[in-house]
Parts: sequence; C-alpha cells; structure tokens
Amino acid sequence: MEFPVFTLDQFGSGSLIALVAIVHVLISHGAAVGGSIMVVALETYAMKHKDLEMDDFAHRLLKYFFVVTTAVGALTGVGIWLTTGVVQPAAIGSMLRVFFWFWFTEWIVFVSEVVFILLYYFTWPKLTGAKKVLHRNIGIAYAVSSWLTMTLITGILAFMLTPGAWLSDGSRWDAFFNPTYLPSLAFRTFLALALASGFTMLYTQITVRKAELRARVLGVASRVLAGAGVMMFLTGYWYYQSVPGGGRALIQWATALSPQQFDLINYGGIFVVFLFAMVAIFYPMRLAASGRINRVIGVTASLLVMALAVFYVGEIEMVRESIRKPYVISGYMYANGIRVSDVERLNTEGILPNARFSPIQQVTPGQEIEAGREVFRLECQSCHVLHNFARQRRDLAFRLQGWNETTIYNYVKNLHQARAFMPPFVGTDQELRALSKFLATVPTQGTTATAGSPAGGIHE
Amino acid sequence: MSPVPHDLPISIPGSIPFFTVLLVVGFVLHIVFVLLTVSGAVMSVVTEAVGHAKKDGRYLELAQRVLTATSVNKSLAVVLGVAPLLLVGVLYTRFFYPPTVILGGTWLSVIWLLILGFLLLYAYKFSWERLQARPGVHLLLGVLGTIPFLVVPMIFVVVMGLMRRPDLWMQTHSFVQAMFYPTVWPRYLHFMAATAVFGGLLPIWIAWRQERKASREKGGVTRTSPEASVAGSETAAAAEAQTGGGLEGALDSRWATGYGLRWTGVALLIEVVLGLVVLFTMPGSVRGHFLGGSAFSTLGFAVGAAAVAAALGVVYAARRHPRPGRVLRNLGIALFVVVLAMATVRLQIRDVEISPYTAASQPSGQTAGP
Repeated sequence: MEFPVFTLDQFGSGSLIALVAIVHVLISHGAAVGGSIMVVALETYAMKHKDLEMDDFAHRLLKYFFVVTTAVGALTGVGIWLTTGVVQPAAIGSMLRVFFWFWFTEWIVFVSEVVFILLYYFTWPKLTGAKKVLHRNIGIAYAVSSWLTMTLITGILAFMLTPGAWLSDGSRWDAFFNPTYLPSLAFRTFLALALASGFTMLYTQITVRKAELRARVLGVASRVLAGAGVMMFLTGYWYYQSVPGGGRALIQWATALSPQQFDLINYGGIFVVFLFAMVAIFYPMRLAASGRINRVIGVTASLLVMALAVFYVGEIEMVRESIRKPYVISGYMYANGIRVSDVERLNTEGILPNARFSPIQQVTPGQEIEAGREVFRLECQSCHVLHNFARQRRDLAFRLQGWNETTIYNYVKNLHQARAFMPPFVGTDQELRALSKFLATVPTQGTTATAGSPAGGIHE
Repeated sequence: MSPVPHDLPISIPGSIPFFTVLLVVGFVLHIVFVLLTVSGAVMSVVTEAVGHAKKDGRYLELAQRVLTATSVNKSLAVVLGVAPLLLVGVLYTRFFYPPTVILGGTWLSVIWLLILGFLLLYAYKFSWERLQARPGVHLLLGVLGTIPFLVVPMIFVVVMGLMRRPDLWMQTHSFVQAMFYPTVWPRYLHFMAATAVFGGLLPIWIAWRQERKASREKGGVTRTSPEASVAGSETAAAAEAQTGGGLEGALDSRWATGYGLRWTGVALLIEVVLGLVVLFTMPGSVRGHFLGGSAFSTLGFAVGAAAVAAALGVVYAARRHPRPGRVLRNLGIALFVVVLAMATVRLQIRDVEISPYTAASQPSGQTAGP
C-alpha cells in the first residue's frame, strides 16, 4: 500500500514477470550452466581423441552460447530485478534485505562467471598446444562459477515458496536452506544438462555436414542426456514430495493439465528423453546418417527433446509462481504486497486511507465506482487484469459476465475460503461494496473502465 | 501525506556508511565500463564511416578493434551494474522504487532496448568481413545497434533524477513529460560528453597493447622502436584474424594514440562547459554545498576539477610525441579520479535533496515483521 501500482492491461504484470523469467531460465540453465558443461565435455573429448573437427565444433557451439548468454541471458537476469521491483516493490525490497549478503555473494560469483566466459571464448584460438589444458580448465572454472550462481539464486527462489523455519526464527540461514532448496537445486541442475544436450543435438543435426562428426557429437551429448534423464526423474520426484501438501495439490492445477495429462507429460516425457538418449548412445550413426529420411528423424527427435526440456522449464516457473499463492513470501506477505501482519489494521482503518499513491483516499457517495477501481488496483492488479488478450483465465471482463454486484460482494467476501490460492479481501465493508460495484461494471463497459490508464502510470 | 513511503519493517542488513562506500565504489566500476561501452559503440561506427570516406584502412582496422573491446566492456558493464542496483534498492528503498513504478513501462524497456542493442552490435561485429564490400549496410547495423546506447542513459538520468524529487512524483504521468524536468538535459549531455572523454582511452589502450606485445616478442625490450611495434602488430593481427578479427597489416600505434587523444581532448573541453551548465542549473541550495557550503562536497568538487585540469594537461603534453603506455597510465588515473569525485558528489546531491523527506517519514502504525 506504500508504493505506487504498476498497470499493464491486456497482458498482466504476472505474465510479464513470467515471460522475462522463462526466457532467463532457458538461457541461464540451458546456455550457461548446461552449455558450459557441454562445451567443456566436447573440448575434453576433442583433446583426448586429438579430434580437431570436434574442437572446432565446440568453439562454434560456444559462440552461440556466448552471444545468447551475454546479450539475452545477463540482461533478462537484471530484467527480473527490474520487473519484480516495478510489479512488487514491497516484496522485492523485503527480500533484498533478508538476502542481501547471499545476493551480494551471488553477484561476485556472477562477475567471475562473466570474466571466465569472456576468457574462455576469446582465448580459444590463442591457447593451443601445450596451453590447451589451461584453456579447458578456464572452461571448467566457467562451468563451476555458472553452477554456483544457480546454487545461490535457487535458495532465494525456493525461499519464496517454502520459507520454512525463517517465519519463526528469522534466521537468514534457515531462510536460505529451506525445505525445497536442495531438491529444486538438483532438479534444475539436471534439467540444465538436458536442455543443453537437446540444443547441442539440434544444432549438430542442422549445421554439421559430415555424418561422422554428427555421430561423434551425438555420442557425447547423448551420454550427458541419458544421465540427466535418469536424474531428472529422481530429483523431480524428490522436489514434488518436498513441496508441502497444499502446494502439491496446486501443482497440477497450476499446469492446467488433467492428472492423466500431467503424469503422461512429466513421467512419459522424461522417459522419451531417456529412450532417445539410449538410441543415440547405441546407434549414433543411425541417427546421424545422411539421407533425407534419417535427417528428418534426427532433427525431429532432437527438436522433441529440446521442446520437452523447454516445457519443463516453463512448467517449473509457472508452478513456482502459482503454488506459493496466496502469498508472494509464504506466510509473510500476500501476492498483492499486503503484509499478513497488517491485515487486521487495514480491515479497521481501510485500505484507501493507507494507500499513499491513490488519488482517492476514501469511499464517498457518488464516487463508489472510482474508489472501487482504486481498490482493484491496490489489491487485485498484481495478478488480474480487466482484459487479457491471451489468457481468458485472467480476463476479468470475461469471467465476470453475468455476475451482479451482490453476487460479487458475497463471493469476494469469502474468496480465500472458496479459493485457497486467493488472498483474503482486506479493507472495510464500504471498500468491498465499492469494489463490487466497480467489478459489476467491468463486463459491460469494461474498456472505458481502464481508458486513460497508461501502462506504468499511477494516475487515471 | 508525504509522497515518500514508510521504510520497510525489515532492517538494513549491515552498516549504512559501509554500504554507502560500497555503493560509490560499485557505481564507479560500473559507470567506467558503461562509458567505455557507449563510446566504443559510437566510436566504432564513426571511425568506420571516416575510414570508408577517406579510404584509409587505418580507421577501419581501429574501428574493428574498438568494437571487439566493446563486446567485452558491455558484458562487464552489465554485470558490474548489479551491485549498485542491489545497494540502491537496499539503501534508498523508499526513494528508488516509486519512480521506477511511476515510469514503469519506460524503465522496463531498458532491458529490451539493451538486448536489441547487444544483438545488433554482435551482428555488426560478426558481419565485419562479409559486409566490407557493402559499407552502407554494415554501417546501418552499427548505427541501429548504437541507438539503444544513446536512449538508455536518458532513461537512467530521468528515473534516477526523479528519485531525488518526491515532490514531482504525484504529478508525473509520462516519461516524455519527465524528460523535460529541469536539469535532465544538461545532465544527459554531461554524461554523453563523458563517454567521449573515456572513449579516447580505447584507441590508446589498443595501441599500448600492441606495443607491449611487440616489445615482448623482441625479447623483453622495454622501449619499443617503431619497427618493433610494426612487427608486433602483425602477430597481433594474425591472432585477431583467428578470433574473427581478420585484420591485415599493422596498426600505427602512434597514430592510434593521437586519434584517441583528439577524442578525449575535444570532449574534455566540451565537458568543462557542460559541467558549468549542470552546476548552474542545480537548485541554489544544492549548488551552495559545492561552493563552500559543505567542506566535504567542496573538496570533492575541487578534486574533480583539478583532475580534469590534469587530464587536459596530459592531453596537451602528449600532443607531439604520444607514447601510449604513459598516456594511458596518466590519463587513466586522472579520469578515474574525476569519476570517483563525480560519483561521491552525485551521492551527496541526492542525500541533500532527499533530506527533507528522510526525517519526515519514519515507520508509524506498522507492526514489525520477522
């Protein structure tokens, strides 16, 4: 209530965070963590077998990982900061204070990661002969620092989901080593390897002309993939079991899949990945062979692995965003930025008089709809938009069709009981009536309700 | 009601003076690489254009090497920006978040603009050889890739400037409106001129590396003769060629040093004028601090001004016989002192401007969290 509210109609602030986060996770996991391990593995293979073609291939692959990591990965990483800061200033401000030193440490590791990738990439043609081992070791240093950044950030991400003992003792170490920390770190590590293997296989199939080289690359990548597949299955199950009961029930809901589809895609998908890896290990030449049909099969199979890995990344991010609801920091702050400890006070004082940036400070007769719109912005907008061009589930103009003021009032009053993932309505009864009045107008004159509300503006 | 939010109930996890020092140091490291990145992009494009216009290969070669250095600098600029971002968020929570929300759309466009700029600059870099026959197309890639680097500093100047003016928060509706608040344009131009001042270091650094490499290959000869520098640069060029540089022939290191000195020298003179404009467009109460009002601010300002004079002296002294190693060291130290003094003074301005609000809004009716 202390900070202004960011408006992004049609798309929604939550979707914006998800977009930036998914792009970032795909790159940081796939290209940085998984990609560094993959390139080092290929370079090591090339050194061991004195395979110059393979060495050249590994260098070319690194160029793609390098461009995408330094241009898109690093920027979307900072982008998550900026986006969450704009959408949830109170939450991100709080987390920054709880985790400052972890983040500061992560930053130091992140600096070394960038320095190592710059060195690894730019010294590839220079450190040859006797210095080749040194070059490969720079690669290992890059891979390690890349993985270390992940180990640090995962603690904070898992904390948002399961703050564990921090809620009672306030210890930063308990906050970091929270119940889902280790399983999610393990799962993300193997997912990163699967993602990098999928990309490497696809890239090989598309760009490498010589079938023998393709087969050799597939040989290395498929071994990594097979290990990652088995471990993803085990650690994924561990992660799933470590999420507290209520959250687990929400996982399936969050993915919008039926239980059968959920099992099929998650367990079946990982099995397909593993199967493909086995085929590539035992019959690399079959998959790599030239000839149109072989090429189509090879490309399709790599594409499938890649697509499944991308799906899992999207899934864990969407699930992570969804299952911590109704909180943004579990047990401490609701998804709309209201602290649990402030609820009682706000219920008596009202939300509008406490909203520093709201132009309307109380509900007055004749101004109920405007006041209701402010209440909407303060309490609902961090997740909901009035109109959403893509996701009907989040489009209130669609979902409120046929609802009148009274139905809305009664529903919102008991919202948190009807839907466990929704925060309770906070504020006075008068404010709730104003909100209901405003929401009842949304389906009919929805577009005018937000007209003049510029994205990012705080005033109408 | 004061527009400034209450502070969060969770305390700042460390000593505030220590965090403030970290913020200044972190910011200086970040901004040095930002200055080098912005100027590197601009200089590459300008130098390549001059090279094509004059049909002088030296310019083309230098432009390409500046671009390679820029692709490294831009990565360091981004990663070094995280620490100041963290520290500003912790120390100035109540002042930093509101302007970023108020100008949220524009503030977030920084990410997409920089991704676009970086990808275009990579395209510009990796297509250097392939597009040499079509300089127009190649330069277009460079120009497009440079535009985001000219826009993003403006966004930072506006948002960070708004942070110091809570009285303007409630009336700010759009970025364009905020762009014309007093002090925005002088500050922006002051920053852009600073990029050119630092940009001059790039050719000098490239020249110095070339001479150093040459002297090493001559068997530890420290003082390089022109011949040695030519021989060395050939091997350097060969190495560059493998990394995708594909440079042929040597880069005349004295010529390159002179070229860098011209950028720095001219930009420094412009900067002195713009610096005075910035000083006199400040609110009088703030300006007073630098002109005797506060010993610390006045000292910071004086040190900065003295370092600018020293930098001008270095440029002037080196105009006839530019030795890259020496120039790089002296100019580098002088300019680093300037930035350090500027960053300290800048923080001081912020603290002076927000001081009426820091006392007024202590936590009141809030319950403490864990």
